[in-house]
Amino acid sequence: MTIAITLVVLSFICLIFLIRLAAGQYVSPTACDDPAERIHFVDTESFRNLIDPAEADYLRTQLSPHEFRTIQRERLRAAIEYVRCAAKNAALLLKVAEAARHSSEPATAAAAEKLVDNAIRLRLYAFQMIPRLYLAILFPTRGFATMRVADRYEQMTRQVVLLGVKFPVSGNP
Amino acid sequence: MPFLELLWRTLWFLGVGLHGLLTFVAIRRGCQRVFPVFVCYTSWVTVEGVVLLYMDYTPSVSGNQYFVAYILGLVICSAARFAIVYEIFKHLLNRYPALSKSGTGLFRLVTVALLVLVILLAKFSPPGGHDPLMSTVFALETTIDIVQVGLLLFVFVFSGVFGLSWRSHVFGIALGLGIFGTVSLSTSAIRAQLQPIAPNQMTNITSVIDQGTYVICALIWLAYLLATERPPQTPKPRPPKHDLGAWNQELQRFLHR
Repeated sequence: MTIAITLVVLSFICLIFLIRLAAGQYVSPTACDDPAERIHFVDTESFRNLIDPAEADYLRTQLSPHEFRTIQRERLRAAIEYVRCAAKNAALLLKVAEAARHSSEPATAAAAEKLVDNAIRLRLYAFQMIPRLYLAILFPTRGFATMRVADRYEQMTRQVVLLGVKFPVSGNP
Repeated sequence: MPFLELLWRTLWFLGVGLHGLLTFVAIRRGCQRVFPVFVCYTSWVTVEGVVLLYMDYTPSVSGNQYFVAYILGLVICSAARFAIVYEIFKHLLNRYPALSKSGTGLFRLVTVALLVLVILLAKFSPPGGHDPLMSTVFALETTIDIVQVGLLLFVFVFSGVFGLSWRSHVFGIALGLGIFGTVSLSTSAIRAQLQPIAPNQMTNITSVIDQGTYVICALIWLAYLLATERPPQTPKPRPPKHDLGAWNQELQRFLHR
């Protein structure tokens, strides 16, 4: 009986989720009136510094092991915030680019296509990188991660500028 | 004839008619080019419905013959619904080549995980009722529904996580299938639990709910097929304040690389 009740309750929750999703289809377009207002500032240079292994090695030589672990954990927490912001920005830009994809101008449509591709890749890297960064917080003395998120973010910013969308870049809070 | 049975039969006729209309509209709109499996499914549901109705109202058709036809229809429809879920997912990924490889891999992984889950559920669920054959059918229905709903939820969550935009027709097909799957999961779980030997009040209620959901799904699919496809909404940014600065900085960064 327990399995049957659990399945009925779960399917009811799924049904509500689907109905809310269907209702959201007609609500979400207005939620993105001005993407520029919802974009988070991401300083890619600082982010690169936070995940740079050479920088971590330098700190390791300069600090005691305990201090290094504390500082490195703080740096990694900050890096996670950067990655989250970049992923959120990518999701917003994806919406902008989706609309531009249907532009009658081939150049705009092509730029939008590239932006969509980059935004998707950035989110993919971000989802892969966040668990790695959390793992690195647990073991701060071990090496980790990749620069791909930073590279992809910079590439995406250039494409946004090409697309002519207002977007905060490094040094523009 | 009791009220519930009358209602169930009315909904059965209505469901078959609506699926026939849906197939006609889908073919007229050229959906078979974009969603071939979906159009095959609606066509099959229509044909199967007509055949089962004919068999039900023909005195010469035995209960066993009807049962065989019902099981055959169940197996084909279930396979087609899985194929539709995959068709929806592939259609969604076609517009995002960057996600094609990882998305397909994840889809396979989730399918395997769901299969493991249903095997475990079957192992730990209590032994069957009076009729082993019917117990197997009920368990099969529940298993199919769990995997199908799980896969559809995965598709919705995956698209939500990556912020993918749905074409309204694809969304309509997925929504209808999702509603059908979730309701069918509830009713099949109840039937699997009660294991009725002969039709009773509870089986009549679950049958009415199932047929009603068939009708609602057909209406949802019809509505989405008849609606014109909406292009993605273009956000209307306010007059930019610092565009020139952003352009200049980006240009400088680009030149200094």
